[in-house]
Amino acid sequence: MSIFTGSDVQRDLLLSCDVCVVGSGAGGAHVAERLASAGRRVVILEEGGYHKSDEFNLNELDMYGLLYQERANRATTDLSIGILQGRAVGGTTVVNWTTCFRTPEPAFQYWAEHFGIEELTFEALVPHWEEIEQRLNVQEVPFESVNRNNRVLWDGAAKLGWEPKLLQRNVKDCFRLGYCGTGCAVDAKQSMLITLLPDAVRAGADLYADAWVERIEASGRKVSKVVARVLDPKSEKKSGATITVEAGQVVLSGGGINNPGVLLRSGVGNSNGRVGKRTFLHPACATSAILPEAVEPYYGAPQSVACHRFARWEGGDMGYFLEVAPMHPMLFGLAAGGFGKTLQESMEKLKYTNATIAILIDGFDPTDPDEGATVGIRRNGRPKVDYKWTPRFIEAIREGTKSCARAQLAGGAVEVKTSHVEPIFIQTEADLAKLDAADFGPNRAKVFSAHVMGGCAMGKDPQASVVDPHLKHHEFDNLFVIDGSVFPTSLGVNPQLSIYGLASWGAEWVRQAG
Amino acid sequence: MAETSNPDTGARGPSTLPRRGFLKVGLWGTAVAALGGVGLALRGALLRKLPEGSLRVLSEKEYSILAAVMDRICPILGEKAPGAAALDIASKADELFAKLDDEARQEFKILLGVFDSALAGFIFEGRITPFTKLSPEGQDKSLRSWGASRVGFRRTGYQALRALSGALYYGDERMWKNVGYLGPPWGVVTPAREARKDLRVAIYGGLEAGRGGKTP
Repeated sequence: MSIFTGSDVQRDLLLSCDVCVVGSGAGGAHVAERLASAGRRVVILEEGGYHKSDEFNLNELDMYGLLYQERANRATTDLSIGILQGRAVGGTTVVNWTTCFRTPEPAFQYWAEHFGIEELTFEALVPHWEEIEQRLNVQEVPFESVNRNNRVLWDGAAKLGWEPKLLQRNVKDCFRLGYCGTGCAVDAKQSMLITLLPDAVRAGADLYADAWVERIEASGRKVSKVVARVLDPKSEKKSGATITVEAGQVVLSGGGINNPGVLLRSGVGNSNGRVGKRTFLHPACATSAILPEAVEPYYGAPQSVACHRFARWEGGDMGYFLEVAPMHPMLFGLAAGGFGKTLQESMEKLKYTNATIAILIDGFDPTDPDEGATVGIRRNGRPKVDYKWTPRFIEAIREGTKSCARAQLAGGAVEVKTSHVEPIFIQTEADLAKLDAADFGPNRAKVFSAHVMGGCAMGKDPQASVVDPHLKHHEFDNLFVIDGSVFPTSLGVNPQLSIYGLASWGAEWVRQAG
Repeated sequence: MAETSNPDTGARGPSTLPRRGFLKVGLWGTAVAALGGVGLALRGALLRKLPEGSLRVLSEKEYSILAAVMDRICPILGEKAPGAAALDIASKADELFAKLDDEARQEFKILLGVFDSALAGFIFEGRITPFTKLSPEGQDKSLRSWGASRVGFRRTGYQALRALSGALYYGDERMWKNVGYLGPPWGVVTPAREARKDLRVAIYGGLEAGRGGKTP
């Protein structure tokens, strides 16, 4: 029916509906649209604010604060991995870099073999992907649209025989401005904010922004209520008002970290202690490279090339895939190695800089049931994340860093630099040996995440997972979790399209159970 | 938990904060923070002139420590680098802290206290001079010591200060031209927005359609 913000809710509200969806990102928007279209009375609760494209001023300082979790300060407890995760109506889809991949088939095979997930297959999701790809105009980037930043990876990986590929993006009439990460100012990105959420509202859903879900309440095998604290849209502090939703069914779609946060705060649904376990981040290490000509890594489609030459979806060495990162002054000022003169020199070369990233595929070590991160709760109720740095993980960072540097050198770079306190400089292939002696442990070189997955893992075994293979919570008959938090491993590709496919598929199980 | 007043100002400062795990990691930080009222920790910070307008979160001492750290991470290096003080990014950090949750704020305050502590300097670097009273070269050496330390919480502390300083300094519009960044392409954005006015009305009008003065 409509959207409401914290300013609209001045007193405590009691709402009733068929389905309450917590979160309005890739998972929640999709589920809400499906169920509202099927005639269900749907209420969506979203912690983030409602921000339209004319608010997106393309300024990092302002937009990171406005559109990201914890004002872009979300990180693991020891700050060793920074976590960029959206927080707005539309969720991370508002700020992602628009990269779309279908889930790789080996991931499904691993899930079937290790977690008893048999119905959710690549083939089962194909019709769902086809539909959403059409709706969101998902198309391969034309080669002539590849910017210089991505071209470094393309050229380097091709020269090394690593078979780089053009990737797909969900944009329509895109100007390739390069500011996807601060919200699309021209409504070209087909985010949930401008696609499925308006569809859901048109179909009858009500959407409440600035509504931070504090807890769910349950009795027996039923979740009876969802309780949200209303936030003041400007200060983001609690306004004092609450929204209580009595719903026939509840769908948690707040994403990795936030979904476990709701369950842990509520003190329900964690009899087996698996909530928050197996949270995966696709941790990404990076090297920056100087090219002889201008790169302007801040302009153009942020991502258009990927290389999966080193991807692995099995035990043994941890795999990774290569992409580039757009670099604007604030992000590079934060991430570049060193300080003082070293930092200033790097910054003055920003225009000539390429940033290549190796994204580590965590979650595929069959010998470690608690691989990755664990989500817990701080004293103030907010979630915290602790990532387990194993020797296997650290070696993957080293190897990923080497591959970034190798691709950059082959792609024409005259110098490559790590992000250590004392950066390691690489000018030739022979210099790569320096990385063998370098320390890549926690807080030695920068590691980031833009892909949060897991924490409410699906699986057949009720003792080892949180939701069943139909995405229903093992302990409740009317609670579903539908978004990236149910993936029992990471994916090995940017997760957006996987979540859309899963949500479209999962909405049907909610409908059937309701 | 015993509370002690700030040895320099008598005001509540880092030493009066909860002695919970410093940045939730490492016992060393907790121990150093817990000793805030005795011995070497009594050596006070070199205080700075406060910025115009009041600080929201940081004490005078904390502001001075943070400004000193930022001066070395983003120093004066000629025309293209006016330095952190010229942009007063320590005040911007104070504004940011005001928007963070209490726990994150407290952690940062503890970090600043430990960073300047003569006791921590003595334990980890063999020096007894607080960070704020070191020479610029000494401060750089101390920063490197934090960043390359074998002790995890010191590296965490370095990363927190390094990331905050670099982000606020280079994210500041006044630095853009100095690093060759021409800023957002408004020449494309403005006419594009104008041309898509109807699209925007359709999208957001759809979302807001049912509102019509209705208060839930």
